[in-house]
Amino acid sequence: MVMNKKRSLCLIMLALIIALGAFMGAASVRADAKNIIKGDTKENIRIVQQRLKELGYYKIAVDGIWGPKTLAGVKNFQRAKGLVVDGIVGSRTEKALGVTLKSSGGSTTSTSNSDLNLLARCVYGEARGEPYTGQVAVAAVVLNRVRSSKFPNSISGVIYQSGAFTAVADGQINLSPNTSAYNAARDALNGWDPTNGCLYYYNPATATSKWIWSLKVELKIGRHNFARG
Amino acid sequence: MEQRKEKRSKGWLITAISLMLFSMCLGVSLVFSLAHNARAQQALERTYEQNLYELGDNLSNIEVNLSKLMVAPEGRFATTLLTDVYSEALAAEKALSSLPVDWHDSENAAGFLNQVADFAVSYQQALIAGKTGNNYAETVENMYVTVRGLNAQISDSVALASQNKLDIRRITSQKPFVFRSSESKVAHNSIEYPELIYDGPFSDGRAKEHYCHLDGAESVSLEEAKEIAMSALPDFNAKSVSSAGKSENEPLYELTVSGERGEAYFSISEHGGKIVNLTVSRPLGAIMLGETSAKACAKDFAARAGYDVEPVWYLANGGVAYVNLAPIENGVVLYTDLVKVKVALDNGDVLGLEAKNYCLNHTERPTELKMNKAAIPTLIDSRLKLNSVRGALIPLENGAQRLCYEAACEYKGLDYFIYLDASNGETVKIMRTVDSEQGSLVM
Repeated sequence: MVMNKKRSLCLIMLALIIALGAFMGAASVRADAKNIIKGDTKENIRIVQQRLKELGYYKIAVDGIWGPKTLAGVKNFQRAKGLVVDGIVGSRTEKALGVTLKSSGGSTTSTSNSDLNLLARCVYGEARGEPYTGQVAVAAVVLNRVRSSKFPNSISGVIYQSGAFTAVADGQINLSPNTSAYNAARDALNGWDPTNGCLYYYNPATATSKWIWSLKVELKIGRHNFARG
Repeated sequence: MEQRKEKRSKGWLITAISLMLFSMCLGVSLVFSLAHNARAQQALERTYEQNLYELGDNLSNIEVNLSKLMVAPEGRFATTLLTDVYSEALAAEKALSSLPVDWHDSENAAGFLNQVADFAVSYQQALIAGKTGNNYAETVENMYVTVRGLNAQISDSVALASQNKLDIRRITSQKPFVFRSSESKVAHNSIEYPELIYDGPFSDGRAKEHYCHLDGAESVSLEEAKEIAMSALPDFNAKSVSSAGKSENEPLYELTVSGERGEAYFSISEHGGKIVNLTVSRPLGAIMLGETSAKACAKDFAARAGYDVEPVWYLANGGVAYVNLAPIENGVVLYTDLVKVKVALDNGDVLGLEAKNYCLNHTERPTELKMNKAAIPTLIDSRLKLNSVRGALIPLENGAQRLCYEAACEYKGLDYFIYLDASNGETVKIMRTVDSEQGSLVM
């Protein structure tokens, strides 16, 4: 009798939890914990992950996403250092980690920094896993388009142009770029262009457009073919 | 027995109620989700429609202004018209690029609108310089015809949208169809874009890039280019080199060198065997070098690569230094011939070189400054604090070069470089240095 009551209660609870979960998920409510890290930005999470990794408290990829592994890493670090084990990177944990986190309050980001961030996101979404030069080349193609009359006149205009980049279409543009993508974007903004003025690139293994195949390939870097058009 | 039956039926009842509750919640959430998506879709469609209306307005205004320009090709009125044409053409291009039209389908129209804006600037500058507008008359008429055609077709789309008969998400598959290029199946509706030749960066008349500096230099074979690449970075411990092809437009060998700590990518010129582009990737250590050492490393590497240049600009970020170097002849800095070198601040290794501008431009040119340097302070606004003056050859947006005096000035805590034509003292360009997280930038 008691067992049956318990089973029934469990069933109701389970159903309610699932139903509540479905409702919350569909209503697009982000249930991320607040004040996890000062500033609560992906960049800050990346800084913390990188430092925890260096110290051996975090073993997986530095991705700027606050997940259970990051939380466990922070807690383990706090435990080892005799800090309050709350999983929150406040000023004491920040100091113990030996990192400086950026404050999210007030925007001091200049236009050029915004461009750098966007370009790095594009490089990461389009060419992570490619050799470094291939990443610089992708960033250079974006900048070559900005300079070309046939494309919009700004980095954001070129990147968000309809159908121009797969990473924009499938949302990979929103991933947090790694250091390599930032460096590649910075190199391109400083004038490096391994493509010598190419306006197009494609991966021959995945490209489906007939038109892109008609372009004369100038050079190949990694998995990408680059063309002037 | 009865009790057991009753318990079982109760259990089923509770399960049924739970499932019903679950289904209800799921249904409610689905309704919310669909409503949210529908609102987002509608908002997006309204934005697309707004862009279409704006594109129509912009094209109408350009058409009217160009038609006026045909009868008033000179004077202050023409200058005002050209300002309007410039801003409307840029706005039209922006509205076009914000429509759900595939970039390949709209690139000819976008290119034309950018050329219209570029042409307006070029024409306006000619008028300000006292030149006649007659040379521009034919181009204005060609542009007018094209804009009129484009505007007529966009107006049809706008009319459909205003009657709620246009599915904006499928604008490219609906008639009237205006953007797709001529190879498309719907070429009967495409616009013929004229060739526009004028004095501007987007002009169809721009000469193809040519590496003047390498003219007459001896050709090197692929094997020789590989040897140059393998020996260029002594501390890189190069293990192997492979060819990524040879660019035909520009005579460059593209080579990848693999070393112990990473990869280096070289572009080496077929004529002269010069390193035109180099990118090295390797992990970076703690910063050990300062500006002076980084500049010395950059200058040394550039000299070994055959570029006689001096550091003129420095920027450090993320453990690397970007050093811009330029030739200095008779006290004149040749900014047109920049060589850029990237230095690792952990041990001074060179991580990159970019010398395309040097190879494109570095030939013998007159560097005689006609105006006396002593006259420059009198040409600078008296409110500015003048720190230094030197000669400079600077690149202009239209691909031309101008021999100038570079005046480094300060005003209210802001730093400026003012470039004055060395023959008549006219202000050609003003650059401002801006401190950012990336270092000092010029804008």
